[in-house]
Amino acid sequence: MNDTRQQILEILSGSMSDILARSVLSLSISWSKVDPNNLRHGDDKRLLVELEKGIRLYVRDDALQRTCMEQMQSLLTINGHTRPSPVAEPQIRVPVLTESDIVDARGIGRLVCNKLGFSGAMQIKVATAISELARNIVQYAGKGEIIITTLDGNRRGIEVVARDEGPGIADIDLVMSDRYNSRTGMGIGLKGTRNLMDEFDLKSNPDNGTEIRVRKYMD
Amino acid sequence: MAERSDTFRIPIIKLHDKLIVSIQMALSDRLVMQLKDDITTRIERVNITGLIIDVSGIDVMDSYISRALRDMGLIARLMGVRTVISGLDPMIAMTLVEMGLDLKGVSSALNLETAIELLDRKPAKTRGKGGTV
Ligand SMILES: Nc1ncnc2c1ncn2[C@@H]1O[C@H](COP(=O)(O)OP(=O)(O)OP(=O)(O)O)[C@@H](O)[C@H]1O
Ligand SMILES: [Mg+2]
Repeated sequence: MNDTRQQILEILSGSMSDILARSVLSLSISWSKVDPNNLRHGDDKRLLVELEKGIRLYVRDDALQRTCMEQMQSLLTINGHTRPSPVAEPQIRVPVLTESDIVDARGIGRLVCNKLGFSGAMQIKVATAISELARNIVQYAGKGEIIITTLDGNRRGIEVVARDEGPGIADIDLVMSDRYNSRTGMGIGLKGTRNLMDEFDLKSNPDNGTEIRVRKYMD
Repeated sequence: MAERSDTFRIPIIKLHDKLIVSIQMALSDRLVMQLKDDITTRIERVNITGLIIDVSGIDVMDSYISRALRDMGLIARLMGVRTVISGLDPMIAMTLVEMGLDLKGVSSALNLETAIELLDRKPAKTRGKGGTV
């Protein structure tokens, strides 16, 4: 029984939601290129640094933050031998069903941006865009998912796909225009998202639902 | 983030003639709705002249949250109470503008302290309160 991943997860879950804890872990693994179940001397530090970034971002309460970090330190310094193994870049899927998933989805988006080294302003823009897309899923489709992918090609950045199998958007041109008057909100969510991101692509029809793909680049 | 329970509410503090709300967490829609209700009830019950909503701990301000804050300001005004939003992160403010959103109708202040000063200043002529500034 030496499942360090599980133990890290348990510590994180003490101060954040499960899905956020899982994301903090998987991103920390990916960025440190260290597998907690396969730790070698010196690796623990790299992993710890990444985990601490996530903890600092998500645990607001100072005391709770300290406890969480201390637990993590003692876990990772006691453990640790054998060789490291790089882990693939993550794609994170966040199921969106209830309003609390909206908060999780945008939190995870922000975490990914933070790890990528996005500026604070860009982190907030991406998180805000995710919040709009996730809320539309909850409001209009009932359920769907947000998929967050790290773009690591010649342009570093982040891609967010919001997908659902809901009723679709009947008149895309209308909802994206200035003359759109929403009955449910201010009708600003999608237009605002388009303004905040570098790329915006909307596909929707009544048979397949809605898929919105947005991207934000670092440069 | 630590408050995941379904019963957690954002506390509203009464200080002299003001209500102060300090939001120090990521806001779920439920918390926003609850806060709107709670503020309305409190204004009705206690005799105050000003409402301060400190948003320095908020993670983002999307269309839903900004609309809710505007609503709270509007409700307060209809009940004779002035609202000041304080501590809005400049990066969040920038995001709001880029989206095409605004907090029309509510004044804003840099921080809690200046928000209190702002509320104390205006009616000072009529109430004759010894101002500090
Ligand atoms: N995932 C979706 N499935 C079905 N319809 C959608 C979806 N997302 C958006 N829509 C439709 O597109 C319209 C515009 O969405 P948008 O987010 O821009 O504005 P809103 O949700 O009405 O208001 P706001 O986001 O400002 O609160 C919505 O009113 C809704 O009819
Ligand atoms: Mg919307």
